[in-house]
Amino acid sequence: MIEQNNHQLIEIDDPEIDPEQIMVEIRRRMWVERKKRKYDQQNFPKFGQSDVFNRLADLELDSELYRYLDKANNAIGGVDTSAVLVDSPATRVPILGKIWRIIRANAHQLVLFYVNRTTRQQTTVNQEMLNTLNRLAILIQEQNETIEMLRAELETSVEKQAQ
Amino acid sequence: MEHPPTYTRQHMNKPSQIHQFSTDISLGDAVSNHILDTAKTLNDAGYSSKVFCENPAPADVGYPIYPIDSYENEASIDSILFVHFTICYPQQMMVRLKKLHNKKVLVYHNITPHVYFYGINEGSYHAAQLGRQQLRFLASFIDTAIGDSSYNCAELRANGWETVYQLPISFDTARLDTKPSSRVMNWGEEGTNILFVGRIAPNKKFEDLLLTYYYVKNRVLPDARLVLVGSDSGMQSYAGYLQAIIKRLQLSDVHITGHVSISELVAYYRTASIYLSMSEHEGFGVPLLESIYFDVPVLAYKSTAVPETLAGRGVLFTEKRYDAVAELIGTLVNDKELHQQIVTNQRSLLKNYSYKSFQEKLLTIVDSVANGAPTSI
Repeated sequence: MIEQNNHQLIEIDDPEIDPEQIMVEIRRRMWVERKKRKYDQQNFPKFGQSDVFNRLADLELDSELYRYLDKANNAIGGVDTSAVLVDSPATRVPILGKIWRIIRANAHQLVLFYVNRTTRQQTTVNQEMLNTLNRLAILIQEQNETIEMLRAELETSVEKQAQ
Repeated sequence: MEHPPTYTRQHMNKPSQIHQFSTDISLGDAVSNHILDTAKTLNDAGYSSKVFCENPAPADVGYPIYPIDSYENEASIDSILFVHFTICYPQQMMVRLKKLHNKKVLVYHNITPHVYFYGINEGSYHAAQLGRQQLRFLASFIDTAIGDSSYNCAELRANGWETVYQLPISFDTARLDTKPSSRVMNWGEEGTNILFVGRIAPNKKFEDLLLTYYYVKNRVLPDARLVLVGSDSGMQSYAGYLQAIIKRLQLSDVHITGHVSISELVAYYRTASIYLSMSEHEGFGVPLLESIYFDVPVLAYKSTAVPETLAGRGVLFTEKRYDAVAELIGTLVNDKELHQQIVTNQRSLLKNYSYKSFQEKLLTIVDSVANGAPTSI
């Protein structure tokens, strides 16, 4: 039988309807269907950029390749390009402090404008390169599986011929 | 150096003019309908109410739309301007809004998180990112805001607004009492039609609709059709990605209609067997209400403002397990008793969103803004 989650998959706020009863029947039908199609062990492919890396976790990748991809995928979202300016003793001086705070913030914004432009472009390149690597890793694994399958078929036919 | 306006809590004179500003007005979309319904309600209540727009509006929207350049002639200290915010404003518009000294009220319809547009539409990606920054900045010179849902209101408070009103988006069912397109009715009367209505945008997760449909078609209901109603304007690369999935999964009977007329929309609702939403970001969800109006059972992924809009009606699912959702669709279509029970329960929601209650809430908010909310001087 397929796994049962501890939390409810469906929510129906109606005292006349029992969602759990519906789920029991749905789980039964899914189990029958999966058995019939021998899908017990098969994961359905996922699409979309955010799902690409999740697929890697299910694959038998070289551990070093997985580790580096994992690190790269974790690092890619960590680029912070906003100005966070904490008050200093100088900015707390009456009147002049306020003016100093405005000058300081504007100067930071000016620098960040140019830095952000370069960083944004580089981040886009990095993201695309990482997506490419993720996709390549999946393709390599799929090709490995195809090679294994063909090798098994070849061995079987060699054995048959030998007999 | 220009000083930001200071705010005090004081009473305005009763405003005689309550105008609205929006970047765009288009035919048939929920925010545009809301703006036009607001204008008509305010006019009926005795206010002068004009709609100003940055971009030219279609001629057949049924209400005069004025260019924003002409607004300055109308702005008096006793007038109120409702500023509708859906994604972002050009910088010159922010400056112009800031310079206006009459009372302004932000009407927030939420902004799709920019991450959804990554790799799909660079313009939308940066606009959505900028919009969230502008939302914080708008709080520095617009002190009162209206959100369509408590989800939107919470976001407004988190961005610095203290005076926040909740006004659900207008839902005028008279608009839906239109003769359905006979072409679509003839096309859709047979078989099981799974419907989703919404512009083709990545936050709506059309790929999840396709993956669920794969299971529906191949395992549960071979006669099923997937009907996706909405424009793909500006999202052609995402639409291309969806076509690639359709091709790869060899999905038949997927109908992507593009923008439709109101009579076609009504016909798609009338011929729908079930409404399925996989959307991961909704600030409100008018198509959910429209489905309920047409007695179409709603099956929706529980995210953002969707559960709030449905308020316990329909069926929510908490996890995108495509095979389970497909079986659930089969159950809702085949189990007539369950189908009827869900539809009956859904129907009770419509009284919460009646047009009359929208009008009453709107006028109460206007009264409150004029008589107690902070006012710029």
